[in-house]
Amino acid sequence: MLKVSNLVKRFGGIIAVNDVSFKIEKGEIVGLIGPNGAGKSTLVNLISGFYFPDSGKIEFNGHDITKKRMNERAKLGIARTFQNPRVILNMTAHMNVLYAILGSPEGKKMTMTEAGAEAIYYLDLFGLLKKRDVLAGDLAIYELRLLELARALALKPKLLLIDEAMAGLNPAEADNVSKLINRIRKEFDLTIIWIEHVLKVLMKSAERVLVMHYGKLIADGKPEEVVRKPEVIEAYIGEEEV
Amino acid sequence: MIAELSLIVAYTFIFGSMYLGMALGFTITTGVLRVFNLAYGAIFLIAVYGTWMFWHDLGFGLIESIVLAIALVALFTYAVYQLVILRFAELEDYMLAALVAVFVIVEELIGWAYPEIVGVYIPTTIYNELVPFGEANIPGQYVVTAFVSLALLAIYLLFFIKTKNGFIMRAISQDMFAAKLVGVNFNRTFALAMIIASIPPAIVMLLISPIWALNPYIGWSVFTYAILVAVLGGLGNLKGSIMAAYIIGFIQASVGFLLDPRLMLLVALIVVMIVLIIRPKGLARAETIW
Repeated sequence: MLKVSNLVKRFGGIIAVNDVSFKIEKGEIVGLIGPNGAGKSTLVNLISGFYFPDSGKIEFNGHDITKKRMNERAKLGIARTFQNPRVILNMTAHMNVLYAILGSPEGKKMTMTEAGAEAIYYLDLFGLLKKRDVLAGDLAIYELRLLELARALALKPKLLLIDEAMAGLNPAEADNVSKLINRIRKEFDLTIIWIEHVLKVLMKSAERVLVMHYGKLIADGKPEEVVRKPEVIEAYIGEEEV
Repeated sequence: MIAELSLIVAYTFIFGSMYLGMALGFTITTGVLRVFNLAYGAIFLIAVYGTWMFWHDLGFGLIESIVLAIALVALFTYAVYQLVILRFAELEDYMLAALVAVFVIVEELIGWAYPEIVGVYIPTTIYNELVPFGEANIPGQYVVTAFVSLALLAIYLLFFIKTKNGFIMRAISQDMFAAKLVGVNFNRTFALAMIIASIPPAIVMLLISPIWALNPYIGWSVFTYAILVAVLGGLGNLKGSIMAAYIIGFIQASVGFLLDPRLMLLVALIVVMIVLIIRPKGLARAETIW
C-alpha cells in the first residue's frame, strides 16, 4: 500500500529524515517510535504532504504521490491526526466533522442533511454525541483527540497516520483511545502508522514497529524483537523507558 | 431639528446598507482567501462602463447589457485570481502591487475609451419618486439600492450558512490549514469565492449610477468606502462589516446634515483611524467570515 524509498528531508544543516525506506502492506498497524528529535513527526509530515522531501519517493497504492499536495493526498485516502490537535476551534464538534465529509470526494454527492447525519454517526462512534454543539475550542484535550480521530475517519481513509494520540491523556483515557483505534482499524479495514514516544503503548496494538534515531531508520520488526536490538536500546539510553 | 433627525436616521440606513453592499465582496475575498484585493475597485468601473459599452455602443438591450457586464466582471475577477493572486501567492508585496496595477490599467483604459466629457448615463432607475420618512423625503432609488444591498447580504448569508460550498468557505476562513487536511479543493473554492464576491459591488454600483455622476475615476472613491467598512469591521468578517457599514453611514449622515457635506469622508476616515488605534483588528476580532 505504502512504499517509501530513500526519503531525505533537511532543515538547514540538520537532516531530519535521512535516507529512509520501508514498505507497509494493506491492513497493517505499524508503530513508529524513537527518542525526541528522531524524525518521526517529520516522516509523517512527508507522507501526509505537510512537507515535501528533498529527495526520495513516496508511492501510495501504486501512485507516485511525492509531489502531491496535502489536500490531494487526503483525497487519495491518507488522513492524519496531530500531536497538537488541529481542528477548527471556532466551529462546533459537529461542524468539524461535517466539513471533513463535505471536503471528501463522496461528500460532494451528499446533501447537507445527509452529510450532517453522517457526521453524527462519527461523533457517536467516538462518544462525542453529547458534545456535538460544543465549540472545539471548549473541548478537553481527550475530546479533541477523539474529535481529530472522528474527523480523520470521516474522510474514509485507507491509510491513517496517528501522531502521539496519547500525549496529555491520563492512563484511563489513553487506554480508551487505544481501544478505539484498534476498533476502527478492524471495522473500517484501515492501515495505520502510529507514532508514540513510549513503545509500551504500542506493544498491545502494533504488529510491527519502525524505530528512528537521528533521522535514520534503525530497526524494523515485531515489537518484542525490536526492543531487544542493541541499537534500539542504545538509542533510548538516557531517554524515557522503552 | 426633527427634519434633520429624520434625515440622519434615514441616511444612516441608506448609506450603511449601500456601503455594506459595496464592501460585501471585499469582505468575502478577505475572509476566505485572506487576500487584500486591491483590484476590487475595478469591479465598480467594469460593471457600469461594461453595461454602457454593451448597451450604447454594441446595441444590446439594457437587461442583456447588465447581464453581460456582470459576466464580464466575473470573468475579470477570475482572471485576476488566476493571473495575479495565484501567481504571486507566496509574494504578498508583489501581489498587492500587481493588484493596484490591474486596477489602474482598467481605470486608464476606461478613461481612454470613455473620457469624462462623454457623459455616461445608465438608466437603471427602478423607483424615481421621493419616499417620505418622518419630516424628510428620500430619493426612491437610494431606498431601492439600500434594500437590494440588504437582500444581497441575506442571500450571501444563506449561502454561507446553508450550502456546502458556503460551509467549506467558512471552514477555510477559520483555519486554512485544517481545511487542507480534509482534501478541500482550494483552487476551485477560491475561484468560486472571487467570482461570487464580484457580483454584489457590480449590482450596487449599477443601481447607484443614476444618482452619482459617473466618471472613469469613481472606482477609487467607491472602493475607499468598501475598504473603510472592511477594515473597521475586522478584515474578512461579515458581522463586523455590518456594524462598520452602519457606523460609517451614521457618521456620514450626521456630518452631512449637521456639519458640512464636504467633511463627510474626512470625518469618517478620522473616526475609523481612531477606532483602529484602539482596536487594531477592527470591531470583530474573530478570524472568520461569519
